Amino acid sequence: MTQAVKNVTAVVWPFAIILLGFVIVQSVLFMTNALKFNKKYNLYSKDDLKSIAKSSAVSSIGPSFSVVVVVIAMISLVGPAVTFMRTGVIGAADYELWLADVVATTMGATIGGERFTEAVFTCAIFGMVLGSAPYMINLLITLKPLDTLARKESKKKRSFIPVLGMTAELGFLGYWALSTASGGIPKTVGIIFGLLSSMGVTAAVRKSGNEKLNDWILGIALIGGMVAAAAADTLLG
Amino acid sequence: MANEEKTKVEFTEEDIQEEYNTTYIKKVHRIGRVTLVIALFLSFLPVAFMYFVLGYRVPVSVYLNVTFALTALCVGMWITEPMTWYPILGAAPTYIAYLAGNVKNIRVPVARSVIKKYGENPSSPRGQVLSTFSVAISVFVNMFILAVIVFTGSYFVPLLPDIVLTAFSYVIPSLIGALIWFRVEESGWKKTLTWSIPPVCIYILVHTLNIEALSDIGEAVSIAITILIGYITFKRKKEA
Repeated sequence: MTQAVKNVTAVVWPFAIILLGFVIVQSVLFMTNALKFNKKYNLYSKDDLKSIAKSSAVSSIGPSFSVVVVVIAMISLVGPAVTFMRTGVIGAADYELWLADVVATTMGATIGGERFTEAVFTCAIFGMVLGSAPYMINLLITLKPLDTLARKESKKKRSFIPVLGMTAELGFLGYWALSTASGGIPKTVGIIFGLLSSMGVTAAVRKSGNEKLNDWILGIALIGGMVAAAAADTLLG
Repeated sequence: MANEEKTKVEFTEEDIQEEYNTTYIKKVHRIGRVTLVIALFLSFLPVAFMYFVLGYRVPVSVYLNVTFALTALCVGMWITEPMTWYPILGAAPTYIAYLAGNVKNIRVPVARSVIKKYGENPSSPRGQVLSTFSVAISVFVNMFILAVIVFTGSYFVPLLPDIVLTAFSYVIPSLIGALIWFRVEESGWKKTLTWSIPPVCIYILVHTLNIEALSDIGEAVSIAITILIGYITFKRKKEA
């Protein structure tokens, strides 16, 4: 880490903590609203909620590690404060690094290089924030009308909403799967074994009747896929 | 217990839907909009502080260049992306996802796995309570893990064997495999494979024609066209 990065890191820490704290506050507000509604109408029992919380927590662990390598690379270039602030707020680590790189290149500098001064770094952070801010502005403008329209549509006897959910998901999943698989045989193996492992869990649940196994489906799929992909990677050299 | 029974008798599905459509959803949008405005302000705050107070300045023209360069690169994603996740997540989880980030690699899989487990419709009141609760939990867990990685990762990651680090780079492919299975379980193999044809064709088109302008928003284009075909098919069936 250069001195400029260290200087900026020291300044950014308090802002990062405030912003990340705010992310937590937003989630708490939404959660409280959902739980109040749930309590009034008794949609899920306390035991259900405990099980959902456990299931969600377990399901979040594996995917959270998907950023570990990029986060470590990012810390070495832009320091821990900016990394934490940007990956904990809207950003995905690789997207943030790409944004910072676009800005640095615009100014003829490289991230973490000699010409990456405090002023250039500040502008790079501006680029990272700018890269995500329009998403928020978009949601501010479009989400409420879109939601109103969708709820109106879902009241109809034959609603388009279930088709919308399925087509939107397959539109993204199909494209994402292909672009990931085109990254090489190990990645393709990862997809196939992720699929097979989750199929295996479902089959085991059906056979044993142990619904609790479903809490682990994402974790087991990730381990199955990662082990197979890493094995393929090692075998293929 | 008596109270529970009373509640069950007192409220019908229509009552739940009515309050969901009025009070609940109004509050969701109020929380979402207010928090996003505050978050926008907080996001730019460190930049403003360093620029105006500490004097870490490059000429304004550089900021303008950066703005133009990023707009040219990202405008497609900015417009299309948030709307594509709404049908899968619903309103409140979409607001959370676009503040906490990692939409497709954490929020969508977590919401999908609980929705699958409970067999709910994601747009129903029950489905929305479920996905809001689970996505919020994912934010807490993810933030904790991120903190651990940021504060200790630089020390422990180099200690990990190479094979473990290699395995980390295959989290996403494995996740995709699981998400495909969730969809197959809900819609069956036939529907899943049929509706996978549009994204496959779009992917091949974008990559064989090598359309630079489309490569960054290929996924969004794929979602939009698949939805459009779904809509046309839906309308035709309705008319027939």
